Amino acid sequence: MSTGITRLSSVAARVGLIAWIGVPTLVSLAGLLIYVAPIRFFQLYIPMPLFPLMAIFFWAMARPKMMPPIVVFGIGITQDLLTGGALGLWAFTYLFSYAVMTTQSDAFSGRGGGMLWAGFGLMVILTVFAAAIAGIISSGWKVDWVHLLAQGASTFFVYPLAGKLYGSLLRSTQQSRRLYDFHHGRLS
Amino acid sequence: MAIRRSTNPFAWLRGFWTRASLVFLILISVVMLAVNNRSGDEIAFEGIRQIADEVASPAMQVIDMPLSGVQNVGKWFSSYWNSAARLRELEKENRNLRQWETLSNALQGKILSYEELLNMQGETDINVVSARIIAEARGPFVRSGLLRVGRIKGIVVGQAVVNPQGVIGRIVTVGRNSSRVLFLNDLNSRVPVTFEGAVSRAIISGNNTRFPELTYIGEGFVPEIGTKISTSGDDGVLPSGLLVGEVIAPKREGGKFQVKLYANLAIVDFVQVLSRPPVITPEQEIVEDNLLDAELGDVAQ
Repeated sequence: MSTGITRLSSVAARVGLIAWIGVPTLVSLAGLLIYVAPIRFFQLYIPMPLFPLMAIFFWAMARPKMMPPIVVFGIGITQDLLTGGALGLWAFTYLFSYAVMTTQSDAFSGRGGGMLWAGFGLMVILTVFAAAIAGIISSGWKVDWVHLLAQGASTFFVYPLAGKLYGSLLRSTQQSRRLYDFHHGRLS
Repeated sequence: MAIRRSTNPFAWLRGFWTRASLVFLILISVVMLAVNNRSGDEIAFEGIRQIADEVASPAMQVIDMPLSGVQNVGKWFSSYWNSAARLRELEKENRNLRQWETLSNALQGKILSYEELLNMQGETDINVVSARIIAEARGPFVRSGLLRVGRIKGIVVGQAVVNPQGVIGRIVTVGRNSSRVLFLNDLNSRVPVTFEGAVSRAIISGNNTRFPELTYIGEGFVPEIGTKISTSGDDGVLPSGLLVGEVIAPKREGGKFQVKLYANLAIVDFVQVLSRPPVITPEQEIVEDNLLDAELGDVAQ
């Protein structure tokens, strides 16, 4: 009986581990679906925040191993495909920002929420810059600059909320990871 | 939010494969962008896009259901709040429309009798497929929407997409059960149009803003501000006479004329795809006849 329970618990731990690894990707993809959903407030259109960028930033700062470059590339390509835009545009933008943010992670990791938000602000500026370059490469100079800047601003202002959500997700998945380690004798 | 400080935050980046993959993936992205740039009017990676739309459309429909429910609540409240004023407005509009209906019926009868007299071969019948936009891209680079109707419902590339206000765009990619509409204000959108009361033609070119530009205006023709614009049908794909918008002044002195679209592309919801049988050119008919002759010859031998 107790062996059965232990085995079941081990399976749960495995599922938990998969969740631990897959959560950043799934959260980014969920953000992407919200990004392309036709959401309007009181019949008005507002520039959608770049939810995938928030997820990439959070996990690149908190757990870089959970957000490897190939996942960032996949998120970018998926965004390009879902929006019907030039293929490679958001992939390039996110990878470029990701490359910079990972080299600067030491400056922001372990800091307070305000400092992290400021860091995210810098990352948004960098992303807007990278997106503009990618847009110019793919379609010339005809980029909707107002929209791009408005999107950057909405992304910046929504981040604290998204960051709190990702933080609680990270804490809950960490418990699953500890359970897995415990079952495999890595944690006493 | 508390972020755990890693003992060595650069350790993962020092791994050769991670760094190499990062550089490699950035290079792949740049190559893809360059391919997009070189493909011109052709839609790059069309096959991949069709598959992606097919996969995404059911998921988007699921997400759209609760969203549309919530948005409908807002609409209901707003319409309830203004119901008395709207009723008066609609009654007035209805009285006007009744007069127009009588006039329209008389004119239609007259046109039909003239067409019969002249043995006029009119426009081919147009089929209408109604759909809802379940996902949209309104980023700084692209303006398009995803529809949950595709090849099965007779949708093909190039068909016009309209809403009650006017033309909103045309179909650019089609999957089995999904299709993508490129809005008139997208950078890659080009639609031939004609001006009300003139024979001159022009092209509406999207510029990723609310007001697309008028390009290739017939030589010597200067459109008046406020002139109505409708599709010319010159491309052999879009039906002629679909209302698009009206001419507005250029942004700056000597600039291009712009178009105020009748359809509000910021709040597109339900749309209609207008499908009509493609026009077969005489050249295509000759090729088809030759192929048929060759096949008949083979059978006879």
